[in-house]
Amino acid sequence: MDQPKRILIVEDDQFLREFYQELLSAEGYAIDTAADGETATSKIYEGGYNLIMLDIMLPKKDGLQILKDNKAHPPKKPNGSVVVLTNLGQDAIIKTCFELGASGYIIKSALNPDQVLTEINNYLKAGA
Amino acid sequence: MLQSFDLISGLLILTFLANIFLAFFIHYRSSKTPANITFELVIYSIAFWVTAMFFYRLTSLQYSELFARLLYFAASFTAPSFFLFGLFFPRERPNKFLIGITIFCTFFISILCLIPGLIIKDVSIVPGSEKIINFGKAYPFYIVFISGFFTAFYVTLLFKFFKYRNINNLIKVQIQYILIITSIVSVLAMLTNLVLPTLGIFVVNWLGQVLTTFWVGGIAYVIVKHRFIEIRFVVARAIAYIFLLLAIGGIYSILLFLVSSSLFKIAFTQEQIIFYSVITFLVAISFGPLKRMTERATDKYLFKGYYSSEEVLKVLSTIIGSNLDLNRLIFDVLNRVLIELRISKGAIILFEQNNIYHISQIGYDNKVFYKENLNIMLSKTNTVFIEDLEEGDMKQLMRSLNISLFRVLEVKNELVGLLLLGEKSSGEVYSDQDLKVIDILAPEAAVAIQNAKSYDKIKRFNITLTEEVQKATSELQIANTKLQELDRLKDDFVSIASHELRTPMTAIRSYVWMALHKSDVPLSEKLTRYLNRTLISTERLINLVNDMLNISRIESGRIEVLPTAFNMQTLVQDVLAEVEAKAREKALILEVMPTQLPQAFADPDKVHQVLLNLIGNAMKFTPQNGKITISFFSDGNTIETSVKDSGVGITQEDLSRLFKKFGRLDNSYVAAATSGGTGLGLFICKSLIELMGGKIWAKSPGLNLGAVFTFSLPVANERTLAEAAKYTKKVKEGEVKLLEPVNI
Repeated sequence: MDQPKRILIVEDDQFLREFYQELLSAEGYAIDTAADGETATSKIYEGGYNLIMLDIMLPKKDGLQILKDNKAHPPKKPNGSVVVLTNLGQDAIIKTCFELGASGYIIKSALNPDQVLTEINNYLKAGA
Repeated sequence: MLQSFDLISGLLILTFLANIFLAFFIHYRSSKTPANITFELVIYSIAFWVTAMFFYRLTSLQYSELFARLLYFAASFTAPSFFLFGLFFPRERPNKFLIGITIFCTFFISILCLIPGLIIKDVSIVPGSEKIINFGKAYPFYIVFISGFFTAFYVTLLFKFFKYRNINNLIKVQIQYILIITSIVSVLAMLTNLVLPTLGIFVVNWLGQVLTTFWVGGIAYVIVKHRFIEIRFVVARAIAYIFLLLAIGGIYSILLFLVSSSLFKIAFTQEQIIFYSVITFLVAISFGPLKRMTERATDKYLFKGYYSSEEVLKVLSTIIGSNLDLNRLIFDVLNRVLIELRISKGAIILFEQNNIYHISQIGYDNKVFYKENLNIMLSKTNTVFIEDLEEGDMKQLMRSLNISLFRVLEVKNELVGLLLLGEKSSGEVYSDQDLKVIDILAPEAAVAIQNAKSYDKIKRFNITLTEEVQKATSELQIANTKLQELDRLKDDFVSIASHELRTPMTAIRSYVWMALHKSDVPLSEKLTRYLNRTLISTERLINLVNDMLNISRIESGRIEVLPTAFNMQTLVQDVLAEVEAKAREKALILEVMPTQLPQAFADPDKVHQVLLNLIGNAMKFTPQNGKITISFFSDGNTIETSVKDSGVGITQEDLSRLFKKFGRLDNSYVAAATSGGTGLGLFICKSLIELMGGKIWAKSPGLNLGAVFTFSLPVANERTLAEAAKYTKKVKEGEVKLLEPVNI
């Protein structure tokens, strides 16, 4: 196995953020995190992630704005797929996210950790 | 030399009578519209013209020139009166300037006609033929005048014909007839009486007048056939009047001649006989109007006291019977009494619980209406007349207030008002007739005033009521707006709260799962059981929040229904693919009975949700190795989809509660508890199916014998597709919500 795949987790809830970090680290991925919109934007702008897990409701700047900024200012190094993390069901927001370049979404409350892992692996495979 | 009385003279008399008959006909119709009055004017002018011709033909050379001038004078009124009629017909307000011009021109030309030598120079008699007129220098004015006004008349009527063509068919037809009849007759008459005489031909100079008989006949036809002028009782009255005229005229003419010839031995020439006969007729005609005129004049200037009690009471009864408006009623009654009985001043004061409620007065000062003055009078019940009183306080009071007579108005001993009357305009004493009329009138007026007062009160009450209703309505509207706002706030709150709830719930769920599956120490059996129950409860909590959100959205009308035609069996296969993994865990057999089916007409997303719910339920309540069968049935109008399981079943009494909110059954609690059910799924299914115009029901042979859940939806046939709007439910842009997914 060469370079571990890099995943950026953007999630404001500390427990959930650390949970995803723990879950995915155990799988051997290199994890980076951001707890608010502005940190997330600068990290995405630096680029080089294989996958970005992006929460929508965030302090300072919400997920939709992050996606818009990403579109307006392409990152220095290219990023892989963006998967939107959401608690809201199939709302109109998800449709907007797809229009802004997201590849898919995960409803956090609907999945058990093993299901989350399966989804993430699928997105990474599809993006590779 | 004198032209003899011949056939033409007879014809002229007939024409005159025909015109006069028509004039009375119209004069006695009920309404006096300007169009009718001007039309009457037309006929009078024609009758005048006919009469003038009659005399012109019969007079000797000596007077011929004078009568020729009179003939043209008479003729000058015909054309402008036609034009005036054309302006006013059917109910229009013509330009005042036009009317002024017409009157001025007519006045000018008619004066010209009368001045010797201007239009008529002289007349020469040709024996055995019509007289010949030599025209003067001003004759061309006359030609222009007559032909000009007739042309203006045609143009006006033509203009109105086009104006009313598409608005009022009756008026259109009337104009059509009047135009045709008048134009034929007037063109012919102008030919015989204007064009030919100008060229020096006078043989048929009389024909124009006689032709007007046809005109009268034609107009009479339009009156009868096309309601040109409403008839009513006119015919009988007109005929009676004509007979009266003939009788009076005839009797007096005959008397005149008999008396003259037998008593005074006077022989009359034919000319004189005709002349006197016509004058007797004129006397007969003018007697009626003259009598009315002189009566009116003497009444006005000499305060003549006579009137007909019956007439006065009839007029007053009409006023009383046709008026419900209190102010109008009182004023009209008072005004009429003063006019008819010729009284200088008067007042009617209305009382309500012995307080002045309303005063209507003509000619009195306000000091009359002081309450202490009036109270003294209210004690009397009969008509009190100042002349009948002994000297005393009452007489003193009445004299000081200029009251000659008063009468209390009551209904069934209840005070309504007080009628005060001043002295008579003539200064005379009230007659017995006056007092009698007041005695008859007073009770009748009292009842009418009482009624009008009640009506007035109801009217006022109605106004207050309307105001109250308006106030209440606007308050309700405000309340409604507030409620809508609250509803929106509630929805927002539920939405945000459930979102906020789910973040910690997701954390609990995830960490408990990790504790169960990724623990770095082995778990005891007890700890595993505890953690398992925590996990299931958390999942139930999440599902509960989802279901509550869904119900809130359905109930607040935020869920759209967008029906399309789709294949139900394909949709079922999709749902089965989703639940396959879960079914395998419990080793359940999922079976579909393939059936030949028409397409369904519903919102596939919502049906998907329902199927997921029903199949999910079946799986929850069916033990290991059980079987779930999905079957279909269609009668061509609806498609029924049934989900049958071999699970725990439902008792009869529980069947009715199934589709209610939190209708989960007590005895299946264990199954529900271990499966994460919420008790809201079937309620959501029912709401969704009903939104799509379908039905849902459940059957079970009993406990542990399984259950069948069936829902029906419309088939996509011509009828449902045509009524697509009935099955569609649109939601305002920005308010649309989707359903939270079902967890199985």
